[in-house]
Amino acid sequence: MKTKQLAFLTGFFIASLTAHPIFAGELPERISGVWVGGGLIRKSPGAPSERVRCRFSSKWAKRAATISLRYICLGIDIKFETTGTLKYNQAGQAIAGKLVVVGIGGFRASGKVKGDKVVMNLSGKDKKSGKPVNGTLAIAFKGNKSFRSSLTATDPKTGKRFQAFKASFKR
Amino acid sequence: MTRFGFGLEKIGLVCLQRPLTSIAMIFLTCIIAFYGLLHLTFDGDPGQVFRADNAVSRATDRQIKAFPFDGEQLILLVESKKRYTAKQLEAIRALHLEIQFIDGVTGVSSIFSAREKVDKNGNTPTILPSDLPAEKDIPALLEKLYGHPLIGDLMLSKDLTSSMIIISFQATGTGLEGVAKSLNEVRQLTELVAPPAGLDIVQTGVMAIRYDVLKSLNQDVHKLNVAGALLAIAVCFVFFRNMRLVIISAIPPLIAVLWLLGVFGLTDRPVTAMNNVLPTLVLVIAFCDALHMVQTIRRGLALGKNIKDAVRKAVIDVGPACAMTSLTTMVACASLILSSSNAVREFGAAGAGSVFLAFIAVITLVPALSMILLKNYQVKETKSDHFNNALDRVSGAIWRFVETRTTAISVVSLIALVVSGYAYFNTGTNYDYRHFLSQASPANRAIDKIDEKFGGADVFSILVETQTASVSPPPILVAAHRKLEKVSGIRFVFSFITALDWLGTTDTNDADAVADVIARLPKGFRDRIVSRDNKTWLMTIYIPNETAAQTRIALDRIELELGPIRTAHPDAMLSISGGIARSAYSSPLVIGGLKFSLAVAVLITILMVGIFVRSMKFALLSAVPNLLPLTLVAAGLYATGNTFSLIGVLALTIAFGIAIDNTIHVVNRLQIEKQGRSLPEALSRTLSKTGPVLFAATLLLASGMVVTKLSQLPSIRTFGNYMSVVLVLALFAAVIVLPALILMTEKLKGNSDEN
Repeated sequence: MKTKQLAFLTGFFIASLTAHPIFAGELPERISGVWVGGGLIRKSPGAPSERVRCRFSSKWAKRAATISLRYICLGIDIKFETTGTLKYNQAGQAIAGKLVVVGIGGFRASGKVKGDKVVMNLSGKDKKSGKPVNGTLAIAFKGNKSFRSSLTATDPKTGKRFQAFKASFKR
Repeated sequence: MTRFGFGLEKIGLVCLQRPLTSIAMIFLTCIIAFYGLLHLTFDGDPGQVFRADNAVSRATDRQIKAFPFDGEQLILLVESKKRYTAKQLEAIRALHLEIQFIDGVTGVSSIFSAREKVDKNGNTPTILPSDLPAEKDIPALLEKLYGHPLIGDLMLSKDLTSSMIIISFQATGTGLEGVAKSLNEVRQLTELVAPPAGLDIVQTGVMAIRYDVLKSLNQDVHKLNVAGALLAIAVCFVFFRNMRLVIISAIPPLIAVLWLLGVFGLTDRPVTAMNNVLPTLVLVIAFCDALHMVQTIRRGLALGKNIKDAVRKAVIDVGPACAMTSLTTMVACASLILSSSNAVREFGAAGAGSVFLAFIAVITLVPALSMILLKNYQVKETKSDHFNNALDRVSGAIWRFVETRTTAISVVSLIALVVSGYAYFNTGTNYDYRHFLSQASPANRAIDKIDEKFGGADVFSILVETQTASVSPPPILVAAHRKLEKVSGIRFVFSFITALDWLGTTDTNDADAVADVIARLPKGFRDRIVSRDNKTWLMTIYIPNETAAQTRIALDRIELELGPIRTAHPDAMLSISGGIARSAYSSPLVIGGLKFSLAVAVLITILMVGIFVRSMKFALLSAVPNLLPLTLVAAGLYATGNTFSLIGVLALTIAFGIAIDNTIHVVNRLQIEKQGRSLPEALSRTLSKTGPVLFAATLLLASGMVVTKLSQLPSIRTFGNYMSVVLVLALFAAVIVLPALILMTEKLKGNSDEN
């Protein structure tokens, strides 16, 4: 799976923040703001990992129950940027919406919140190749000031699952 | 009465009649000028001086158009006392990644940008992995990194203690604030990261150097003008010892400087490393003229005249000489318009305009202010009269020296002129762009380190222009690259061929392979190799930092190497280009041209003196004391093996224009004193009356130039040095050589009449 495709998937961990029950009520407001962090990205199974630094910003619209987000990760000659709006259903502890990865295309996201973790399924198509792109994003919160995230993706060429991204963030 | 100055001095008579109205109108102009001053801008790019009409300059313009990336670039020189450790490498990586988030940054390159060749899985991993190995394995990793063709000697030093991070910014214009903001953001990051890792990081490159020049220019405008004004006021005070007279002398120069800077601001003309000297020049010229006029007014009052008559006499007697001296200085500045350099032409035009403003300020304000401030002025015997008496005694002693050694002085002067004239025409020219850079600047000092440790601090380019677009590199580029790689004196050659060599692709005709190489290049590298339309290719050549003359020799050698390649590929064009190359080729033309335009200025001004004194004899006689200071400076350079620099010739041109003032004042006074007196008596009275003022004026001018020592820019200090030396030499030439030659001519005429 190509890096830029994964970039979009990586963005979804942000979406899951808004779906987590600990963010119900005041929590979506608490996660609004700016986060900084960094980690590793891998383009395909067997490819070397590369370091990236990231910035994330989000805004919670309570009345509409939506969160708007933007995040950008930069590495050595690597850049991916994701923007989008997601809707949070507090009753069903579910989240759904659409995110756009700059240069790649739009993707659908859906997932559930369980305890301190969020798990989301991501699916879409690469704009250039037309091939399906899917993955699973997991995030784990540690208090309200930091969280870790990881993305496991399926390589379209081999069908193998591999860890495409992992990072940690703080305010 | 001789006719000088085209009657311009009559403006002074109008202001004499209507002092309050005149001051009110000048006050209005000051308000407008102040508005212009608030919009003053600065331009710190010294590279514009040698934009001229020659092949290299034109090729450089084409290069800038085809490769606009060179706009804004900042280099971080990252140094460690010993070979880099793992901790230091992590700090450099953190910097590389975080700098990318700064507003306006469009790209960052560092040693972390280096990648391996394509592996069997199609990946190009970075040579420095995401998890660095144990400390004991770091030296081997660094050696491997140094061996990378895009890194070794370009971005990593051989001793593995220094590297460069190159940051590209969006073009933000040349404003001080915009550049300062970007540099400060980077500095904040480096100050966070560098000390804990034991790294020393210095900002350098075009952006940092330009910022330092801008900062120096900004400081100079305040520092030099304030110091110059205070010093001039101090000299006036010692001379007059009366506050009213000092005020009348001081206000016109200050107004003239305000007008000059206001005009700059209103016409959107930036202050540059070259025209930065003009405010100081205006200040001292205006002070000198004011000194002459105020002294004449004071003398008139001491003889019992009323204020109106004293001022009128000053305007009529001294005004024409002030007009004439301003005209001659304007002609000297205007001669620079003959230069092939746009920047020098603009300097000449601005200089001529500045001198005109200085004259107007003096001829309007001195009469107007005198009428208001000196209404009830009583001339007292003060200490300043003792000072004048002392200068009188010096002038008397000089006259006795001249009278008793007329022949010797005349002969020695003429021989000195011939000998030193030879030196003037045989002294070479040279240029070093670092004369326009602040010496205290760490960015400037970093250039020496980069030169020592890396591939060479200076770069020039070779532009390869083809008629048809092509993804593959043209054969002429391949041939030129391979040839230049072997030329001695060139430290490194960078072009698309470097990338092909790195990635192991040898077949330049395989379009797919070439396209794949381009796609794998680090971000920003592609734009440095081939233009967007794929018709123009760029080779970047790294050479040591040298003077323009030495660089020219190296470039001439390279031109010889390129000759056969051009012949073998007539369908494409190879051109040397780049700022360094442009300076190297243009500087002798521009500086040599300035020497020529100075000679033209000398001839024109001597002619002007002759026309307005109505005596070509006096004009030719005055040529000797006017030329001697210039030729003696040249003789000094020649004897010490030095050369004319750009700023040196500019200073000589301006200094000549001012130095001729001395002879004009002497000749002007002599014409007045000659009425009904013998020549020796007239000369004695001339020296007695003009000598003290000339001494005081020269002291004022020279001390005004001394303040240039406060500048951080070597170019400004050099300007001040040349000016000071020429002005002092011109003073002695005017009071010793000129009277001796006039007496000698009279003696020879007397002898021939007897015969």
